[in-house]
Amino acid sequence: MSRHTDAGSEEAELLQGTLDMLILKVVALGPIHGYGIVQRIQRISNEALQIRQGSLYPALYRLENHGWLKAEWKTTEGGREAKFYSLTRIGHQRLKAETESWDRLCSAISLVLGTAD
Amino acid sequence: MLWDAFFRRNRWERRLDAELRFHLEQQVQDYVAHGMSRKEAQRRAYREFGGIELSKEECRDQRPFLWLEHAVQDIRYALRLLARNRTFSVAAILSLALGIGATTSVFSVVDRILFRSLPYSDADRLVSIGAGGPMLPYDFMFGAGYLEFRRHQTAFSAVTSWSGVNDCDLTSGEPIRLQCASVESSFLGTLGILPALGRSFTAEEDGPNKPRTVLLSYGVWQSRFGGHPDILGRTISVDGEPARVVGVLPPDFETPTLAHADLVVPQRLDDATLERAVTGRPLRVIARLRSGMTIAAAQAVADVLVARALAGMPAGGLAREIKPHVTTLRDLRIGDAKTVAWVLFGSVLAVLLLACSNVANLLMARTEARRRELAMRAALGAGRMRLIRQAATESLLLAVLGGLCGLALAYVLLKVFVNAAPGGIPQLARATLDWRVLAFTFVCSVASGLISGMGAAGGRGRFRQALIVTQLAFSLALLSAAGLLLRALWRYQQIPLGMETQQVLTASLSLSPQRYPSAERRLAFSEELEERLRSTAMFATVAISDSRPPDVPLRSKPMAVQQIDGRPQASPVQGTMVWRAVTPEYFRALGVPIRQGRGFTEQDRDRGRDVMIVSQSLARRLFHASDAVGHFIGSAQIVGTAADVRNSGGTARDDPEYYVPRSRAADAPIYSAADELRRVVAIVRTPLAPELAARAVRHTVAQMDASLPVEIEPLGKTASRLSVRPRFNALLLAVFAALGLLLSALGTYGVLGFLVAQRTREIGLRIALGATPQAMAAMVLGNALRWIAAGLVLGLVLSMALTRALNSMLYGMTAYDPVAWTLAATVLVLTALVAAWQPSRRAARVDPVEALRHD
Repeated sequence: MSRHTDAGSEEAELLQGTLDMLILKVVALGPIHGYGIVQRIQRISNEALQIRQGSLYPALYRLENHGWLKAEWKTTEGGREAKFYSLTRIGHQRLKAETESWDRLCSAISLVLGTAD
Repeated sequence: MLWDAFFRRNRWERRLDAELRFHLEQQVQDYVAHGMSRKEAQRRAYREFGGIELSKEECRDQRPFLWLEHAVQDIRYALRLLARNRTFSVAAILSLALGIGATTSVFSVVDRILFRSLPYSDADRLVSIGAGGPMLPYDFMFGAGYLEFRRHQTAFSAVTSWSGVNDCDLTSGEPIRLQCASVESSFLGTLGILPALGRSFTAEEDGPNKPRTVLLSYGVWQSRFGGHPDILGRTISVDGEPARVVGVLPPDFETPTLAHADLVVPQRLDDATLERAVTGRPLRVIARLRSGMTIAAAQAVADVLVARALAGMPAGGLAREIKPHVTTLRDLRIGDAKTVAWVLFGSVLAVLLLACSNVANLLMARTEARRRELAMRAALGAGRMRLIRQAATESLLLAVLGGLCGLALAYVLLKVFVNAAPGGIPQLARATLDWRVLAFTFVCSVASGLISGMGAAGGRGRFRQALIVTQLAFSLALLSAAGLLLRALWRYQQIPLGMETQQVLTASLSLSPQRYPSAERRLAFSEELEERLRSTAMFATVAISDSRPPDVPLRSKPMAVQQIDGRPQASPVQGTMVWRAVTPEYFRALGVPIRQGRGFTEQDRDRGRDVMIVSQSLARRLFHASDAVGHFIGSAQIVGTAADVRNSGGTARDDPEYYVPRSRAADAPIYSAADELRRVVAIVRTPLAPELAARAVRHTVAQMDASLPVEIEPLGKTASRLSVRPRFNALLLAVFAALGLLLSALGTYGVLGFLVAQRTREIGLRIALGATPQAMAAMVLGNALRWIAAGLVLGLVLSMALTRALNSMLYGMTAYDPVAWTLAATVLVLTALVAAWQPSRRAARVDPVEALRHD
């Protein structure tokens, strides 16, 4: 998964990458199902981030396929069967790497914006 | 989970459904909890989720092992397509099977010659080094020169020598004749051969008067000594002398010249002996290049070396012909087989290429026909990559099927090759379909699948025509090469044998040094044999020689150093002449006519007589067609000229030859060389049936020495082997040329047929507008003719290049043979026209009404 490379589709790529990072971050807090992920991201971001729910599941399947997430069917508090995602070891590493590169990107951008002032 | 995803797709789908349903229901529950009506909540949840089916589809694309699933799908689809178009599939698979089968079988033969690593460690750094000239058929050094070279050279990390392979007898138990390789003590070490058992020789064991030691070949160890490890240290009897076994060679041991060796013994030369050997016994030298040294640098070393050796030599003419040679061990081993191997391999690759382009053409035609289907599938959402992958799968599947059939074909072909082949092609008998060959076949198959697939994907009309032209060109090159070889073979067989082979029998024997230690004993034996055979009334004529034609005589001399009539030659004649020592009856026994002067008489065998008979070709070379009788070569006076007799053994050009009388004096100069008189060949002309005569000869020999093995053969049979090798080469190339021709005929036919089918409407329209059917047929034929013309021109260039490579396979015939080329071109044009005929008829028969109503 290359990101920030294809100039033509920069926005979509950025969004997708960001979504992956957000998912990893949220799942890192503890096993959680797809619906819970949406709720939690919205709550944490004070409803500022709206996730397109249709693209959440493909993203989850992709991350699972990469081996960053693992999934398990468990019973919810409401007594229903749901698929719970949790972070694998390499998922943790990935999250760390993603976070660091995101921080670097952010500080670089604010540096640029700061200089321009 | 992965397992589930792939093999239990339904379960996977159910779980995907369940997961999404859970999400939606949870959302609805939440909204209801916030006071929304259930209906409103459902509507909102679905809207916010977006397209559920799209989302599912995207999830499916993330399924693990999706590629495998696609591959299975593609293969099933390809199989269905192949089953549906049987004609296409059979044509394509057959083309590939022919190409791959021929290539595989040839590869399995040439692999051992050209590519497989030698059974020595770091074999690429091993070279043979020595002087080559018209004296000996191999490069050599004399002892003193070798010693100096070994002491002072710096280019090599190790240097060793050996004396070749000779007959020897294993005399413990039932005596058998074996082949012994005589080597310096450092031989195995330099080549990097580790004995399977025991050790190699030490320097102390190599010398003229040292107790004998011996290494056994793995085969002899197994067959004669039951493979027992206690063989080490045991004493066996070699040539009647005790020799201690110090080791056993590994199973894959080979001598550097590939000459078969059962035993390896020290060559019994220590430095002191070498020092004295200024001439005499030639040594074959093998050296290991120091790291960083190149062959070119080694060649420079050899140049200096030989120049120094020649500086002290008086002979003026010969020096020009003596050349220092540095040869890699691989080249040394395969000799002239290298060219043959490359030519065969090249031709068979050309056949494979023809097969590939045929399949590419077929695929292209098919793709064209399926364009609508493909467009439809693209419109229905099949990705471009997926469609390309599908096409690739199809051609790979074809290639794999073709490869499997090809492997079966290769197995059969290899059997045929090995059985049809003459001896002397290195390692042929050992060629098998092993894993290397299988890997090669696999690579061939995949490569041909990809080549045809890419060819099919890349090409439109122009490309396809270029393919046809290339096919025709390759076919022409193959055909003209085959034609050239066949013509050379024919002319080679036209050369008169120079003797009458009917009712002639030869009996060859070799006298072992321990039973016949002196020249006197050996000469006595051959004279007694001659007497006994002559006194047998059944034999009309009996002669004794040391070798028999058309085999190569044992001895040769450079022509340049011979004094003519007591003077050195003004302009020395280059090349080699060979000679045999024969009894006077030799010419009558073999039916070799004496053209001028006289034959030998019994008096010529007396001590001190010095006469010779020269072959006509030698007379021509040295005396320029003037009468040779009465002249002197060296000290010998020429008393007669005999007709030329074939003497190349079927491997090269025939050499000029002379004969000396087989003297009755054992100390005659002609017998002076070591091991002289060991080989005895009795030549018998008899009215008896061959089996009867053979029994009589065998009986006579057995009466004299019951333990002496004797090899008896009708001369006709010996002579028939003469052209076995050229015939084999020509046969192989002819088979490939025929295959190539067949493939390009198929290609031409296929493409023309397809063009006609594609242009049916146009042709119909033209006919409707007044064009005659004949004109339409002519149009198609004209197309074909244009391709053929282009193919001929291109093919001419190709065959020029190919025939130059063939030069050494032509036995002295010229490579520029316009007849062969014209024949090849005619065959090709006729075949191509035949292939074009049917499509052109079809063009003429197009019914305009039918054609225009089409679609």
